[in-house]
Amino acid sequence: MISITGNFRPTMRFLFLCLIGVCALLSGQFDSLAAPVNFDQPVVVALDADLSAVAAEGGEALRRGIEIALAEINAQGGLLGRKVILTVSDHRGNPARGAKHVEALAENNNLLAIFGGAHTPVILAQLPLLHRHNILMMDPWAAGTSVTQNGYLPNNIFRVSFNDKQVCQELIGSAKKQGIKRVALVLERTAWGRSNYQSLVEHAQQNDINIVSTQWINWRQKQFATEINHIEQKQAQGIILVANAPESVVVSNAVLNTQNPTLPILSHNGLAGGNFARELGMEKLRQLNITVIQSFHFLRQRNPASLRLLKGYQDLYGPIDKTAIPAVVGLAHAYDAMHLLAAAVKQSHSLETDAVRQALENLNPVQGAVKNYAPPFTTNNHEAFAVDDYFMTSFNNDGYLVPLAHK
Amino acid sequence: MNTRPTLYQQLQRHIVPRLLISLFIVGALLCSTIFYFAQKQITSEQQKFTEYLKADLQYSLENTQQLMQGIASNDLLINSFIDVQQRKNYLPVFFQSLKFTRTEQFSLGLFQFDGTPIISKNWQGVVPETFSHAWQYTTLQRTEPYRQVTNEGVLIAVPVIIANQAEGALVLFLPSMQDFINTRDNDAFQFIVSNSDTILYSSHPDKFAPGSTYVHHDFMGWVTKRQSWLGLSLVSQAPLFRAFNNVLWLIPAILMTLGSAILVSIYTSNQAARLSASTLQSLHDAIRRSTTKKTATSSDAPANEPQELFAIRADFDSLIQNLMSMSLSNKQFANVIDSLEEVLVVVDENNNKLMINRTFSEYATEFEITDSELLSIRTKLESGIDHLERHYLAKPIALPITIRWTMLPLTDDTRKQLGTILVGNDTTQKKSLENRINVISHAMKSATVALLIADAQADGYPAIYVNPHFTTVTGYAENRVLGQPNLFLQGMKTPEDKLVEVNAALSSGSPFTDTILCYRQNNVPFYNQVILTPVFTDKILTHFVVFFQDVTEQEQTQQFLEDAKQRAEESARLKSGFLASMSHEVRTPLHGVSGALQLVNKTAMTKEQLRYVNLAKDSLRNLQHIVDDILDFSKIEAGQLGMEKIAYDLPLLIQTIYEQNSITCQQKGLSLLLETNFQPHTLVIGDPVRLRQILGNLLSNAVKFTEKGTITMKMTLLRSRNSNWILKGSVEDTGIGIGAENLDSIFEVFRQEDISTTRRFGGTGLGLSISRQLCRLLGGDLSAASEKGKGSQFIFTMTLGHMNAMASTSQEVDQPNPQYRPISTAKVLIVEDNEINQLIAREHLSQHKTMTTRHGKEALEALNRMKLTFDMILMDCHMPEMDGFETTKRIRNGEAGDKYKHVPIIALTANAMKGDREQCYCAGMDDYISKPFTAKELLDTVAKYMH
Repeated sequence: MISITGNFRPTMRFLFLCLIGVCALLSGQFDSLAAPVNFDQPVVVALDADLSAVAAEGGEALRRGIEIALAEINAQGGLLGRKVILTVSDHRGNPARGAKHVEALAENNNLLAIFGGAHTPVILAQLPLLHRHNILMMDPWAAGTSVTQNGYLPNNIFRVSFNDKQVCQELIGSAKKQGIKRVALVLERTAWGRSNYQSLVEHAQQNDINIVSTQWINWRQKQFATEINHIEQKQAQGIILVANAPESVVVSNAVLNTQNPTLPILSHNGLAGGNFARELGMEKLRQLNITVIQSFHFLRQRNPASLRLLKGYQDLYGPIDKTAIPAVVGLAHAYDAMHLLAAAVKQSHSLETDAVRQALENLNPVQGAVKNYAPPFTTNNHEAFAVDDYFMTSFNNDGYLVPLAHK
Repeated sequence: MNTRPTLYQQLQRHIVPRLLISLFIVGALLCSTIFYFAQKQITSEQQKFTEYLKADLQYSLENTQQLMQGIASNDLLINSFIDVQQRKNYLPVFFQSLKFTRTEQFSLGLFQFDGTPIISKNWQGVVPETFSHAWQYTTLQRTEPYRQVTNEGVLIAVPVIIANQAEGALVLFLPSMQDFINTRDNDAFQFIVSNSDTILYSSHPDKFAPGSTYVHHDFMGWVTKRQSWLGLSLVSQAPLFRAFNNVLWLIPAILMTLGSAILVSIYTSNQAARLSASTLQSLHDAIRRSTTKKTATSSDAPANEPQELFAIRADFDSLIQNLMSMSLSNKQFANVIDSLEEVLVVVDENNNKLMINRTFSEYATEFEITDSELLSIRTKLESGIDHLERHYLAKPIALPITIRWTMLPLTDDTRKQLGTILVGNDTTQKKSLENRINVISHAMKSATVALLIADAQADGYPAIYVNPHFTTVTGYAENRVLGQPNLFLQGMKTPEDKLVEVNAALSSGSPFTDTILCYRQNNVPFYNQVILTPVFTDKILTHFVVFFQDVTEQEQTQQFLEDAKQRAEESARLKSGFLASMSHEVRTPLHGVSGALQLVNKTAMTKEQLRYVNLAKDSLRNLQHIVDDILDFSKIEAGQLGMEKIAYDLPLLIQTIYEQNSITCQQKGLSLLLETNFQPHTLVIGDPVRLRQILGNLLSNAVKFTEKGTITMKMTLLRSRNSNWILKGSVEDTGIGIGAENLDSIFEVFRQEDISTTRRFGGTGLGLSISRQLCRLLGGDLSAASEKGKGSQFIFTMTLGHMNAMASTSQEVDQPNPQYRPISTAKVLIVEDNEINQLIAREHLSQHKTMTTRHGKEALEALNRMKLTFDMILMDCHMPEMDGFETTKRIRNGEAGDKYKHVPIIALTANAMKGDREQCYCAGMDDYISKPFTAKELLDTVAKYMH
């Protein structure tokens, strides 16, 4: 605390009055420059995610991650003196809805950035609009390679999440470690599935692994018997699974019905966005040999940011065990993404898209919950994660993912 | 006569025109009825066809919608909503292949969640504007299927659902219904017509093409059925002439039937006329003959002329009149008169009997009721009296009877008296009943038991009769009681609870007997024995008969006897209590004597003195024994003797007793034998002191009554059913024995075999009684068998608890006397009011330092005043000024200083009653020595608390 003695008081009062005057002048100037930004109104960040369809738990984790980060940011005075609030919209995994939401958000003058949710196809549908309206997007979930490698320059998308290329490298590496030579691919029949397909083929070749069968699964597909027959006939030694929770359940049930129910399944993060364990049932889950790629776990990351996140979570949402937090990667990604965005605003002293984008591309190191981002992004690389940041997990007896070493 | 038409002609003239008219009416009715029902049938057919049409339309709609829902849930279609980039590769092919109806003319569209089309087929410019948005709210917002049928076409929309919500819609539009509905084969015409009269669907498109206008006057004379559905008209119709097509063939049939009916009826009437005419003729003949011959004759051959019908009827009627008018009423009247029980006789003015009934004939014959008697009766009755009673003696042996005569005048229509009707009633039986009632009534009136009759049918069972003795007993006069409810018990202040019981008996109609305290009118109480009897007539409760009896004296006697019994029992209890307290009082001086003798024994004495002292000690021991017996006995009687339950070693105890008693036996020259059969587990739970007492009693008896020979002690431990053990013991001697007649009485109190036995052998006579009581308290019994002069055998049993091996190891059993190390000198405060007791205690504790105080107050003073600290306090319980309990409490509360708060305090008391020990502990004392005690007991206890 600084104590102000009586002698200094008149000087301070004068300075204070001057400051108010300058501020009044400046604000008047902004008004006259026709920027309809109102300093009384809070800054808005938007989350447009699947909150009710196939990755609802992932969507909720994202919302919580942002809320915890915002609570910290607002507690320290917000951004450039303004409070930051979160608005949420539910695209239900439907690209058409996602596009419509971006159109609506573009009307909001206080919007700082949009946080995307699960489902690469939705973000791919949003890309043209984001660039047409020059809106920043933080991507804390969708993993499609083309989300960030989108051909736009400048590029408004920054990813603090999995990248299919890296994920595929890790999944193939993990398969190789398990001694799998003949692998089958099960991919969602969308842009996300195709994004993985290319990378998987590439990495399999490099690692001398033979892709013996590639099966595409539609959204909401209910049967997988024909496909699993094919995989069995081709004598695959493992399955790499790229699908959301409902389709992953269909595939898992099909595997359990074969002669070899313990056929290793190596899964992308997709199934972690919904409640895979509950929909499949614990009894079946225990029979299954499934590992899931993850980037964050409270048992693994124990840095100060991660501890702060856990405390924030438990303060806001009750004393939940740290291994039992659903879709925990989404929570950590969103939390980190929000802090990175805030750091960029602070570094650029601006809320303008161009300035903030530039700051994000040149950000000083930031300690996040997932990792120490040093730096997170460059002009050419909008991926915050590298292949080293991933690890494999499996389900414990309560149906929660835990790192393999901690099972 | 012959100018009249014949029956046949008559019939023809009357019947044929009417027959023709009625046949015509029937024919017309039949035709119109047939037509009516035929038309109705066609109408209902059309109704049915419209229902079919509606069902077909709904079925087609439903079916098509289900097909569409199937497609909408196809995962490839759903996937295309997400897979925006690649869907163009598969969606168009898939979409173009879809077909839902027979017609090629349809539009199909797949729409986004916001209604924008993803892909469509034949949509733009084909689907009317009115259809293009109507489905969106229902299908996209509410996720429900939508159907619309208008004159412009049919539209069906189904939602494409992802995770329970519509993300899009599949929409089908059909401009025409014609190919949409599968027609059923029938020859009527069905249409669906819009409200602007356009034909949307036609079952006969070749005649009435869809799209053409439905012209109403084209269908004049058609049977039409119309149903409105969703703003459209469903029509089914058929030409009216079809109604007659079905029934035309019936008309010639009906005409032929009518013609035949006419012919048949003409022929039938002809035949009927002929036959009836001849029959009538024959009847006529027969009646003629009967009339002339005055006997019944049968009819002859039939004749056919109709004129005779009249004649026959006339003759027939007159004949019936003549025959019937006479007989019937006459006979009935006589029957009625005869059936009367009353004697009835009608006489004319001249006393001639005009009519008598059967009863009169019988009585007249039996009791000689002559004409003169009748005259005499009549004369008397005419003199103005109302009725007359006459007695008649029977001719042979029958009982005499009484007839009550009354008279009525016999008048004609003009009220002129023609004679007199005499009516007599036999009142013999009624008289006899009256007499009987008189006798019973007299008996009830003069009875010396109070009697009340109550009406069971009336509300509250009111009294309807009381006899005079009722007034004598209760003091209440008859008029005060009659009509009172509930047997007048309330009036006599009967207690409420008894009233309830009586009322219960009354309402259930059951008998009741009880003695109830009631009050007479003068308020004097009396015990009223109420005996209530219900009276049933024909199984119906009609009355209650109640007897009231004053049983006050009996009750008082009963009460007196009960009081006397209670007093006697109380007195017995007092006696036991007195004995118990007396024996306690006796103990204190006994203790004094015992202590003094012990002290004397320590002094130097001559041989002679020593012998005297020993004699005194023996006598004292006997006296103690007697006092103990009395005390035990009175405790048993007062129910104050409790049995201990502690673990002890049974064989060890038996061995000890055996050894102690075998010395006595040897001294008397007898041999004592012991036979035991114990099981391996020898630890039992029970009361060893009482077992010792019982065995001691039996053995000392045996020694006492045996001059020479052997005493045998047998002990067997048996396992009982409920995991306990039963100890069976016997003591057998070869002594004087007991007579069979006295075998039972030896267990009675103060009883030996006879008075001389007492003189010879001494003793209180309580021993066996106490032993038996003890055995019973211990769950067993004691019995004796004996033969005079040969010996006796006493057998006892008792229940012992089972001590399992585990517990026994931790339990201290029969702890051997602790071997105290040489005792250092203790400082002992003795609080005792009795000087002898003070002296004894002090002398016994001569090796210790002692101080004596006379009561609690002195003790407290001493404890506070003295500088030295006492190691323990011996505390008498009952003292003047302040007793031991109070003193102990005060010491424990610190009134003697903190250092004495936990000082050992040992009670010295003559109180040997149960509960004394508890009272001592409760007051805060540590231990308890019962007077009289020996020096050893006192020293041991002191030594125990020195540590």
